[in-house]
Amino acid sequence: MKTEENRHLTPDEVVERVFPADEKPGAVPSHLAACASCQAKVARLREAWLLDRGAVDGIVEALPETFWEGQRAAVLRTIEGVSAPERSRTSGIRPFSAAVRTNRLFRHPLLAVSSLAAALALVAVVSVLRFGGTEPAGKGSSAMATPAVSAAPSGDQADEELLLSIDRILLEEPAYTSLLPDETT
Amino acid sequence: MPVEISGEDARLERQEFERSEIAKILAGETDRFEYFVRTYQKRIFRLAYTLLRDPAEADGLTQDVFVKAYRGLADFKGDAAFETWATRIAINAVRDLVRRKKPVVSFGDLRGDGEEDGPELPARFDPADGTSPERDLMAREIRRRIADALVTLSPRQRAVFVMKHYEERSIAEIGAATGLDEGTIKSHLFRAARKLRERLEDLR
Repeated sequence: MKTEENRHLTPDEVVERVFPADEKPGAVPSHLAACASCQAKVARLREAWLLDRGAVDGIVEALPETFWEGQRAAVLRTIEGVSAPERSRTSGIRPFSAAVRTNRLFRHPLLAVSSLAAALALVAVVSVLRFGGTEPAGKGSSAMATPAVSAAPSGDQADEELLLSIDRILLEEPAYTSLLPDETT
Repeated sequence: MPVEISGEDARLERQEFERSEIAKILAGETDRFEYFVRTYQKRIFRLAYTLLRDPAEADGLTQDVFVKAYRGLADFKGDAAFETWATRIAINAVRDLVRRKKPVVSFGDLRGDGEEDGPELPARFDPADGTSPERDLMAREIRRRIADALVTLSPRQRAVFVMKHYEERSIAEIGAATGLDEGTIKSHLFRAARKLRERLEDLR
């Protein structure tokens, strides 16, 4: 007849000995104290688990201080990025990243050259209007309202030459002809 | 008992200190957050590594945890310790990661099949310690099956099991970190143990 004392532990009982669901393991079955086979089963499972746990501990402890420093630095860098928009909003500067604009501008040579041409043209037009507006007597503040292009012949000539040279560059480079208005092509 | 009181005092003192540090961070002294990273990074990494078994993933996840904690610092009520709160963030992050990767990665895959325990395991931590070839082989096999059993658990069960049996946290601590009640935690532990038993049955 099998009593509690001579009955081997069931697999569930073996696992329960090593991984108790409660804070403290239940009372040791009296059979376990006397049965070498059951003791070996419990010991084998416990050993494998402790080895696994030890391996995890070992790996974590073996990591060098530089690893932790690097991890900290990475976190703090990211956090800096997280709070940067807050700071920039309060100071009212840098709505866009300069790096992004630069990269976009120079990613395509065609865009860069055409942007340069447009910028030069804009400078020329502004110069024409400004020189044209300061020459005549009267109120100096009326530069934009005074279309006196012919009042400054030397300045106009220089600007005209500049504009023509830009047109020439655009015409000589077939790749840029699509940027010009229809009547110039 | 004096020891317990002093331990509890130390815990409360630390909690109070951390609460004041968080208030300072929220007031703009953001550099003070380094204290939290320095103090808890190893514990969070260890938990993440135990659950994921991949150092790179554990590293990335640990960083994410602190960034998320920083972002949500204003929502941190201070009722629990920062560590508990960070642990909860870590568990949720692991759960999300495991769910995303479920069809592809398993503990078994990460740990390697057959006789290998996984490439990331340094030789000195290998369970095959040379005491006896048969014993080593058996230890390796049981270890592999423990890992396989863990992968069959839901992320929450896995987290509960690891916190209890790898991190030696109390049921109350697990409850605080997971938001589960004692009965549910014990149920998870019981199911985890049962799956473990199923995996190990033929070895007995």
